[in-house]
Amino acid sequence: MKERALALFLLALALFTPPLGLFPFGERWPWGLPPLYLYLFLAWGLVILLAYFLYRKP
Amino acid sequence: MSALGVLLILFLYLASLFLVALWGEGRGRALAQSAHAYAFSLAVYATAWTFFGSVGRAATEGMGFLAIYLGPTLILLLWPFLHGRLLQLARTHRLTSWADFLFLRYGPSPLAPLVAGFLVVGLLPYLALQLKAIAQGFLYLSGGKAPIGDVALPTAFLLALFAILFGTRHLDPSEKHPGLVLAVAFESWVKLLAFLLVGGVVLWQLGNPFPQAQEDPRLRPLLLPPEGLSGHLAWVSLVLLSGLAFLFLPRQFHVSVVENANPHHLRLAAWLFPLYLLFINLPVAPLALWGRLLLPQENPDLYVLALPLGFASPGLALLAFLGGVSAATAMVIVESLALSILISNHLLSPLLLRRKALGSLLVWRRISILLVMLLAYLYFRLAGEAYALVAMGLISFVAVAQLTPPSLLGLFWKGATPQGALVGFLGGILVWAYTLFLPALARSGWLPHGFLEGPHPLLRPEGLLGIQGLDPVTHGFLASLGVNLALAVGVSLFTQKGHIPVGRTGELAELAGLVERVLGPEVGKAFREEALGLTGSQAVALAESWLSASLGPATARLLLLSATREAPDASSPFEALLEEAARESREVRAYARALEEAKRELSEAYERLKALDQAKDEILAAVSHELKTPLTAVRALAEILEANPDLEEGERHRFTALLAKEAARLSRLVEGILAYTRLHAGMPLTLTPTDLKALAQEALALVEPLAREKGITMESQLAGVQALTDRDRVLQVLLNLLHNALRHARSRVRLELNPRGPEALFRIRDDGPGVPQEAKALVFEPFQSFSGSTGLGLFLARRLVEGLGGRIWLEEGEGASFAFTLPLEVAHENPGGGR
Repeated sequence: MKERALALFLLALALFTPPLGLFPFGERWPWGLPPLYLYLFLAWGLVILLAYFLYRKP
Repeated sequence: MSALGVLLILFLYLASLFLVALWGEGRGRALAQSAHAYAFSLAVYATAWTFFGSVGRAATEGMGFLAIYLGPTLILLLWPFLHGRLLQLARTHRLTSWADFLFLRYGPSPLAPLVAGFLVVGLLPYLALQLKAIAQGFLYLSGGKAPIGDVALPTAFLLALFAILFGTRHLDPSEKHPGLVLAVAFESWVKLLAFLLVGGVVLWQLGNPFPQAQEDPRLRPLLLPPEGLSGHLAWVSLVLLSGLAFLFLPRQFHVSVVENANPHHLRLAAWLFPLYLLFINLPVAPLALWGRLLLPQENPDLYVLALPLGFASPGLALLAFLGGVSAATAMVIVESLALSILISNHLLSPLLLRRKALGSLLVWRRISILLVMLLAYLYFRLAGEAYALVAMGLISFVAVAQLTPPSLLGLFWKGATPQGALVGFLGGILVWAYTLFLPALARSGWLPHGFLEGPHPLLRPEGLLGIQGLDPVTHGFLASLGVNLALAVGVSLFTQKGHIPVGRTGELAELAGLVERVLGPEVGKAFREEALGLTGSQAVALAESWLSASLGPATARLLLLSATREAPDASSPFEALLEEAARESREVRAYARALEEAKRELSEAYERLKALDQAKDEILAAVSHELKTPLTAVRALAEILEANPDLEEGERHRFTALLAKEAARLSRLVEGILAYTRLHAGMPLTLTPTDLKALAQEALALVEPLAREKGITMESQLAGVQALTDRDRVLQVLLNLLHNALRHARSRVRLELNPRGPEALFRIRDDGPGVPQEAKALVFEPFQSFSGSTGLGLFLARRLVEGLGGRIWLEEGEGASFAFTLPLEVAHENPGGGR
């Protein structure tokens, strides 16, 4: 389990702190929403979902 | 809105907190100690600074506010390494703060009190910020006038009262406070619901602000990623910084470690708490954008109140205010409690011990809660709108992050030394003060503004080494943590690990007496029960953890000095801590090895049993066979004599002689078998002081007639040896061996007796043909006869000798030479022999 926790941490770290400025976050706004916010909340939600599956049962 | 009405609502809300806490201590206890309450109590992380400040930050600086909530998500994912381990340690050593851990890890040094003092100084402004949020929100809602005076002061007193009532009822702060936890979890719900409701209603009323923001050149940059390397560094630093703050803030340690009822609750918290943070951040950006679009003149920190007041209903604004109050009060209560424990256990208790006034510690802890609250209030009144207050949230975070190197290195690196940790921490706080705290004072006008220029272009406080373009917090964070870490590692590498303090041991009664004197008779009784059956050093460790939780580790250790003594072989708690990780894996390996070993031994024992069983069967078959041969002969001879009564005298004589000989052989066989079964039945040894020389002479005398009959010369060379042994058995061995020798000898048999070290050595030699090569290995096995004898003599001799603790063997050389040894004293009884 410790391995999975570490792997999930590394995934989350990579998702949360990439060099955001290098990605084209300013160009297309799906449904009129800013892509940067969309990305961060989706990545966050994904990490939480994975944490839920990892830790839900003892 | 009428000031009186708002005030009434505020105090009603505070009163409801007391009720919730009371309920949590009574009937709601199970709920208060549930996994959900635990997960929501962690949300004490989200303060008024989240509730009002996030929107303000999003409205002015863009998305940076999100980083503050991504960090805790990251850290909580690592709970199997961090919080799980901490909980284990806290359970054994009753930790109440990180300072306790540092004392435990690095031993008595100025580090723990320094940390305690520094945290108080570093977090006071953060507390002040919460009081300011309440006062500011109240003033805004009541129309900017303050007819009933400053609402922050009575609120602060009420909160202090709450913390005292529900947090310091007992001296031992490591006890659980279910009322406090339930109140904090309740406040977490209030602030989440209030914030979501405000966001939802504002969006419902005003619609989606993003399309407008996309068109607006002033707002569009707020929604784009940070620019360039400095922007990226700021983002990453903020994620890291907030994660570290989540780990090291005293209030977070208190709710996540001290108040944890069950380590398994972390499983739920690991995803539920991040989910909470995600939800509470959803409305931030829309609120910030609407604020910028519709209220360009307003203070961005008040958008959360101003938007509902201006575009929805006053009731919603009131709800928003209560949400902010709930965020502020939860933080103030837990933080002031955690700080008061730090103050009383690490700063006050050693002083009180010196003044012999330890009994008043609980009172002092309550006073320090009041004092912390009062100082925070004063700071807020003095600083007001100054930069030193507004920017203090993150500056406090950086202060708390200075705990990272000593704590994490202490937790995961065996080589970290007290000197390294202390020097690193000192370096870190000096750089923190120089790059963040003093510049904040200078910006507030309390220091000359020239301070910001620094004495030299390379020493500019907000741009060390001439760095340009980094924001002050990122710069201060990276510089202070870098210096701290580098010094901690560097000094640790070049200092000795220091002598590991000797473990201590003591008498249970004395320890229980001490615990009872200091912590009261009830605790003393509980200690007596808990310590029952522990060894001296374990009981000392237990007493130390109990005393340390209530009085602080330094005082606990001083008190224990009188009731204990050094025990070099008892491992000290530090050593135990250091060895823990290594031990865990060692234990698992050793356990596996032991299992493997036990399995091997069992299968060996089974094989041996099988072989023994088979040997028994073989012996039984051999015995029957051996008995049958002479019996058949006896029967045949008797039948011949009976059937032929007129047999010649000579013939009859020959038959009766044969009959007698076979009967004698039968009787010898039966005697041998009897001796064998006696041996197996475990007849006890009768040890007597024996003159072995006389015994050997007796044996020689007994075989003399047989030797004479066979014409064999008996020779002997006997030294006088005394031994404590079983006389009859030795005689039996000698007779067996002499008979064997006489059977094979041509003309001479020689018996020797010499002392050899702690043993007596007998040697019986004959000049016969010797033992054939192929029979040498079997010569001591039962019924292996090569000369028509019973085949039991040598076998019995071996069993007897081994039963007496000696050895017997066949020597190389001409003829047959048997030797055996006997210990001069039989050490322990082993009547069954060597098998």
